[in-house]
Amino acid sequence: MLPWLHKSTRKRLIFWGKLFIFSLSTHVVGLVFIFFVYRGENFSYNVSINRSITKFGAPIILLPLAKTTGTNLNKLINVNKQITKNVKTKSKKVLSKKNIKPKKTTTISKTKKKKTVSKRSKKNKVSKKESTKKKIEQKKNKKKKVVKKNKKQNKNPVKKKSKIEKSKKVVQPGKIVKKKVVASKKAVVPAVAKPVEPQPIYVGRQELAALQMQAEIEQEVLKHWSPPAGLSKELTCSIKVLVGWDGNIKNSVIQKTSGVLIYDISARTAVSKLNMPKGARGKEINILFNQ
Amino acid sequence: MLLIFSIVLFNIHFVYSDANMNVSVKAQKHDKVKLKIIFVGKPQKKIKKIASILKNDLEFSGQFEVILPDTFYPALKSKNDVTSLFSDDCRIGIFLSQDKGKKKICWRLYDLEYASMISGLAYKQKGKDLRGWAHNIADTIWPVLTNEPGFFSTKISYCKEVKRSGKKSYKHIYVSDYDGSNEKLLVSTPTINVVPRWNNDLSNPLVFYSEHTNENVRLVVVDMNKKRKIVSNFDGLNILSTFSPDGKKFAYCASRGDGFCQIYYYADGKLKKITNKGNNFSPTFTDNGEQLYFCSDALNGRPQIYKYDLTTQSSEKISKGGFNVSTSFSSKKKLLAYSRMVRGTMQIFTYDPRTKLSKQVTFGKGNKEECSWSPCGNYLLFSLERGTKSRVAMLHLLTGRQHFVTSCKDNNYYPAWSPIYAEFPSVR
Repeated sequence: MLPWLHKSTRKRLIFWGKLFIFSLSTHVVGLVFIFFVYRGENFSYNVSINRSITKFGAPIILLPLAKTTGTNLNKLINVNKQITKNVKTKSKKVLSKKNIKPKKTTTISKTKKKKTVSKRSKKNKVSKKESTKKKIEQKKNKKKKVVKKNKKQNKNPVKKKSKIEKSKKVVQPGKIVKKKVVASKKAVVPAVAKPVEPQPIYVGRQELAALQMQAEIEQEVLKHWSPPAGLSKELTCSIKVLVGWDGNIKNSVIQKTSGVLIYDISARTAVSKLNMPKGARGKEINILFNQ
Repeated sequence: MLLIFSIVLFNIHFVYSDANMNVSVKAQKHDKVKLKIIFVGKPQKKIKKIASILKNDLEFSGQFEVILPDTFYPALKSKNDVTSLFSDDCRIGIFLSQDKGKKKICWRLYDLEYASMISGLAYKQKGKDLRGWAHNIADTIWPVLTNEPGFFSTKISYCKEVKRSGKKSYKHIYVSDYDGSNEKLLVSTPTINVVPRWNNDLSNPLVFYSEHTNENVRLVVVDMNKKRKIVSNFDGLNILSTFSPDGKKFAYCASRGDGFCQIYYYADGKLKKITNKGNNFSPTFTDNGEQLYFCSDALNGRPQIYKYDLTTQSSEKISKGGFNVSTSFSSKKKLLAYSRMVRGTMQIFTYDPRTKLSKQVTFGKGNKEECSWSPCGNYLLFSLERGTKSRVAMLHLLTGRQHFVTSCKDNNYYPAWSPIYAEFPSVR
């Protein structure tokens, strides 16, 4: 027989009581899960995307099972920026060094430049010749010696400087170059410098959604914002907006004024025309207008 | 019930979650800001004229689009009257009115959305020139809008070639408003008059210029009533006068008959020669009046820029080679402008004495020479020579926009920008 059709009222009540307790406990478990484990959609979007993060050549890896990766995306982006900058500057330096005439190298800093040039040329030669392990070992030993020598030189830099000064005084510039070339031969490090690659960016579902939404908002703002030309490039105006459920701006407050009336007015004009994407609706957004 | 309750809770939680977003955007395009001029009171032609000049002034930089309706509002009593003028495109308005005594013109800058006054002033009419009133009003509104000083009450002077049939042409001195409008003839003597320069005594506008005579080229001064007086009448050249920003020091070039132009510095009733070798010209004072920039070809025959310290009496070479002429110093921006030859064409450069770096500001065809700064330091006036034609052009340094000030029919040379005088200078 089905329990809710039981003739005994007591048994029927016990059954309903059990059912109530079961449903209550499941709901409690469910609510605890929602508020303390799942936490709803309560996360803050703090990723500002002025430029595309893909610009730096960093691979973006989506983790579909993870909501957030816990990593600070801004930091990662900045790290990648620096890496790309360093790589660019290094390549520029190398290019410029290739054009340097040897006679002009008279200062200490320029001797360093010479060394790097010879490193490159040496590396190419070495890579061709490096066929046996013995040679590598020999070079490793050489490298160790050079490192030791460098360490010694670092320990007494005054002596080093005085030596250089002496050489400047006594020897003609042409001869100095020759000496430097010899020194660079000693300083050649066969260990191949690992190319520094940008760190991969791991993105969770929520982070990806946040990035996408921010990109959408940015596009929407850029569509409507056009400040007058000829103003200082350092101007910034911050406006806090409350997005309504229809996507229009319900309320806007200038958080930080630029100090130039027409700039603030142009930012306010842009804000009034915004129609925000679905994800931003019902939220407060700080928009920073940079010139 | 519980299920419904949990769903409601969840939604509330979702809606009111403190998800603040920070979005940072960088401008990719530029547009004009719209502004309304609204007349208040009884309809008057005078106010309308002032408004039309004000419109031209505000639109000159290319940053504003001024809407000028014809209607006069008798009175704006409530906030609703003001907010009714608001539109999404146009958020600010200037209310123009005249007081009952008709000696003051009142302007009030309003945020039309919130009907709140941003700034306002009752301008007391200076002089008799209505154009001057309008320019003065524009000068008071401009800093409120852009945080930059105004320059609309200034004048420019230049010389214009006057052709005569079968004979040599004359050059006359003309004065116009900053934008080239309202051109007035100041000096029309039947000879060649060149290099007009404004003085820096703000209460008494004068123009110094050089006049060709049979004996020499003499330095003459003329006021706005066209009264003339000889300033320097030495043999040879007497040209290129310049004043310190406080108007107390004066320098100019004179050859005194020996064929070489030297710079003479006048202060406290004494005239002192500060150069000795070669040809020296285009002197210009720095902002404190303690130094003097000038050009000299004493070194190798090619003119270079030098800085002369009036206290230590020592000079320092600024330029590194090339052909550099016509220096002009902006005491507002503390920058030196000069012309330099680039691939056979004279282009204008600015030199920053703090960083000691030069920057090219003009490009393209045509020789650009004789540059003169606006008092606000945002514009450069210069003569642009293409082929046989020479015109006065203006460069907005912030936008890079360049346009001609004088007509294409005439040949105009040696432009000079006046300071902002206490009263708008008008030629009588």
